[in-house]
Amino acid sequence: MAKLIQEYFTDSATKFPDKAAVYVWHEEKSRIPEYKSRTFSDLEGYSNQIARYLKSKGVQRNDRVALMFMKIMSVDAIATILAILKCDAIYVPVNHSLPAERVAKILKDANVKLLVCMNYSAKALITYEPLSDFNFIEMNKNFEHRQEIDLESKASLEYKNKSDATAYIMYTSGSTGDPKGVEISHANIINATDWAVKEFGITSEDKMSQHPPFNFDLSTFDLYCAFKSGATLYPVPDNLSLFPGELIRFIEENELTIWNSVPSVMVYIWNSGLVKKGIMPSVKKIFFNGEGFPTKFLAEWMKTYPEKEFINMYGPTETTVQCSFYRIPAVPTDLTKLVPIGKATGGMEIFAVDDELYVGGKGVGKGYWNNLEKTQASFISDPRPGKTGIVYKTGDLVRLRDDGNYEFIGRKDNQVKIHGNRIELGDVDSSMYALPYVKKVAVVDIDDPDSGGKKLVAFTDTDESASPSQIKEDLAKKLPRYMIPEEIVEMHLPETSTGKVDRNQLRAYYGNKK
Amino acid sequence: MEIKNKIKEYLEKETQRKIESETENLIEAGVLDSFSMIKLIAYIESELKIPVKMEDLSPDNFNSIVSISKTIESHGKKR
Repeated sequence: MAKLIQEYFTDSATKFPDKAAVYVWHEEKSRIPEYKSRTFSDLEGYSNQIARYLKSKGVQRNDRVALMFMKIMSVDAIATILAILKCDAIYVPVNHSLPAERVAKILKDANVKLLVCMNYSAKALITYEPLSDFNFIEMNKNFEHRQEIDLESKASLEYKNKSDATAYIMYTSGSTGDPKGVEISHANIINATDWAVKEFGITSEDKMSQHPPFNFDLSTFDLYCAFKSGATLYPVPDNLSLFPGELIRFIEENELTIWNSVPSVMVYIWNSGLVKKGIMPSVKKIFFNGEGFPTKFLAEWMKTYPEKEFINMYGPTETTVQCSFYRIPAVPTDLTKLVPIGKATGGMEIFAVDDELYVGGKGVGKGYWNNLEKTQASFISDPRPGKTGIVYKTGDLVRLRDDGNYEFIGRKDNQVKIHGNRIELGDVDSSMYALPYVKKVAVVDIDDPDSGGKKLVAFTDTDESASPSQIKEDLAKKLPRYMIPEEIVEMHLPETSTGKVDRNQLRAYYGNKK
Repeated sequence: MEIKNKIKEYLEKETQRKIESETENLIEAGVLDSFSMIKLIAYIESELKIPVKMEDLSPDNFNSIVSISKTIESHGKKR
């Protein structure tokens, strides 16, 4: 039994040394990857080399090491994750498309020692003054660091960590404009992975998609289920989900058996009209997570593929990928509500207090990195009589059905999901208030009929000098792309009797305008 | 007006973003995302009256004003 998550990989490298661990499909002619595939034993040796190199650069137990890669360099990204863990250190995945200001906030908050990345990112980040002295390790072929890495020994390393050690810190949107880091331990991930591999019968024969970016905890499912079972991972090239024809070709050519992504991608593919009976025959199981799947679209998918299994997974980052799941037994008939989030996964417990979902069990994370106040507000002692342990308050409102499955009803606060990404409206508000010409602003989530999901609309009162395109350009320097409002509406903002901006009135106003 | 200019004008208006040049990678610039992509294709089909073959679009042939125009012009001819 693995005690540390890198041991999953080492065990598979012993059992399946010559099997491909990662397969990189190159759709972009302009960016041919260095490797097409790497075997388990190759990657095991390569990650040992990187680990030795990181140690030579001063990385010690419990240090934070960040990584930033495009999908085309997934072999290096995955070897780097393993290497960081093999140093008994903590990995902090950062998205390569984030603006430098946001990257700097994360690196500073986690007190990151090194950033392992593509040369392309290092070149861009170093021009941002606060990062000009930062330590980057550039992993591109023929770069100095890589040549040094190639000289290191491939032999295995010894670990000091125990299962309760932190494995990664993933940053999510925080309500006051600063991202907050969720700390997840090896034991948390082992609980989630051991359950999923067994429950869904994942084996070394499986070919799994690897679609979500590494900074999104859906990737934890792909990575560790594949490492444990010996399945092969197929990183989905960046931006491929914008092109349904190419995406379907990717799934078909590689004969993927397991697909895991956010529902909005599946709605988008559906809308292309290319999803038909008979295509993607290899896919057996479709997992979705991160947001509700608009039922109208889910029903269409299920009618087209009665032979495939559709599984709704639910869980905030704080409880490690998933804390509940629901195998959808038949095409849903009530299109007006979401399919249930289901029942607790192995080792987990879910229950409602005043309609809010609380989560307990082995997947509950360690809290927010370096933020006792926020940790204590959401990670609390189990309130049920006679129970001990820490439970996480999700902020999600739920209803318990007669059959024991929970249904998601809505949020208690101003958190919204766009394409599965968690966004605090206050985070966007504060970035907009930081723009000198914004006098007043309220960001609102609006239903988007095309995607069946939501979109962000910002209502602002600005000096005449700023055009919507200017505002978007300035925001792109501060926020991840998915947090930039789709639409900027300039107007005088309505206020409630207490002087607050009335978001409900804005939603109604927008609805009438269209 | 040329197709190129029509597409640029439409995308700039719809996304409230400025397109720096006809060869700028619109995906990397954040102009083309799943919201604007759906709208753009609907616009090309209904306003420019050119049928779009979704299955033929890829990050290589549909990433800038120039490449988008070229691709849809070839779709129009095949009809």
